[in-house]
Amino acid sequence: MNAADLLADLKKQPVGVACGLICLALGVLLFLRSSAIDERQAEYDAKSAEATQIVSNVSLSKNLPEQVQEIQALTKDLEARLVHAGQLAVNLQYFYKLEAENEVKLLDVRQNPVPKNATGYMGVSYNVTIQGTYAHVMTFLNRLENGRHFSRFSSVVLSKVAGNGDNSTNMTLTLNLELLGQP
Amino acid sequence: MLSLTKKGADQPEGDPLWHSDFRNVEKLPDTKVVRTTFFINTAAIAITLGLLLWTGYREFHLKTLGDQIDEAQGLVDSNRKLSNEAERQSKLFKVEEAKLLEAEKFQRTPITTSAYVKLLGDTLPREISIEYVEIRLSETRNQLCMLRGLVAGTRDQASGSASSYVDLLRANPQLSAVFETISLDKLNPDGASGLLVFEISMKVKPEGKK
Repeated sequence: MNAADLLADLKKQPVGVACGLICLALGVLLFLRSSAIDERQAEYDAKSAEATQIVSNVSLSKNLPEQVQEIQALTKDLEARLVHAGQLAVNLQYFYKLEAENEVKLLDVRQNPVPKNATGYMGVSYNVTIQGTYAHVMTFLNRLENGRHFSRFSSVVLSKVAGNGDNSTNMTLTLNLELLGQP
Repeated sequence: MLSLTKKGADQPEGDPLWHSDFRNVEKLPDTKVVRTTFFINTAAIAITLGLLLWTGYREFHLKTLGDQIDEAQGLVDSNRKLSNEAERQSKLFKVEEAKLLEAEKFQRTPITTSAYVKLLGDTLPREISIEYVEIRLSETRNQLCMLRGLVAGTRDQASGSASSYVDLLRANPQLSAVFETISLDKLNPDGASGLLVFEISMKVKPEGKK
């Protein structure tokens, strides 16, 4: 069979030939675009996730500016209540004021050294020893716990004053405490 | 003489009928009831239609995906500025929140010292006198409170009182919420007063076990 015969045969089946050509074109098209759907689907998934995230961000942040202002005001108050390790006199004055206000005797108050590379918030450590009646010592303790500065106690020793007679109701309170502060 | 034996199966029965076949089969018209061309065309059209539908479906799907991507992009574009601002505000909030949490964590304690001492005072029996209270909270683990005091009465009565006092402390709901163990560590006679000296230790529950 030569080309002329083949052409003659093909001419006998015009519909089949046309369909074959269309199928061939469609096959090429399908082959060339075989990965297009997967790519577009992946692109859509990514874009959809981004859109969902962004819309969610916007909807959840409805009252965020007000909340940020509120929390900034709170931290401003908080920072006003921090001690500054460098201001030794001001810091010790806090304890002397408590002494005066609570009728206890401050036997010892010392600020311990602060680590040199400290940043952010830190506990500024103090050793404090006071003496007074049980009621006054407890008031001092309460004022220290709920006072202007944030405090935490590492160790507490409360003992009756050694001796007898009138001083037997007196107590000694030895504290190792930290006040929340900044370098 | 003619052979009378039967012919073998492989031997022709006679000369085949013979005539020349002058038909040109290729040029003869298709005289079947349903022409072959019909089957060929039907199959070709069916396959082509199937492929066309499949291609059309895929292209439609692609177009739909493209429209959805455009829609999502539109949403992203229209909300981008607001979202960036929300993220900025959120970061600010987190920074400030961390400061508050740090302060809260700094002050977190299983029981405040004043509350603890007051509780001891409220639950103290008449025959017991506490001379010394020590609270050690510096370590995260092994946080400990220690009491030392005197028990009044004869030694027989005093040892019973000391034991009852430990039971009383253990039964206290506020103390049992904070302390893992409350134990009487020492009960010795005091040389100076002649009374019994007791020592009670209270081990704070580790964080997370409360």
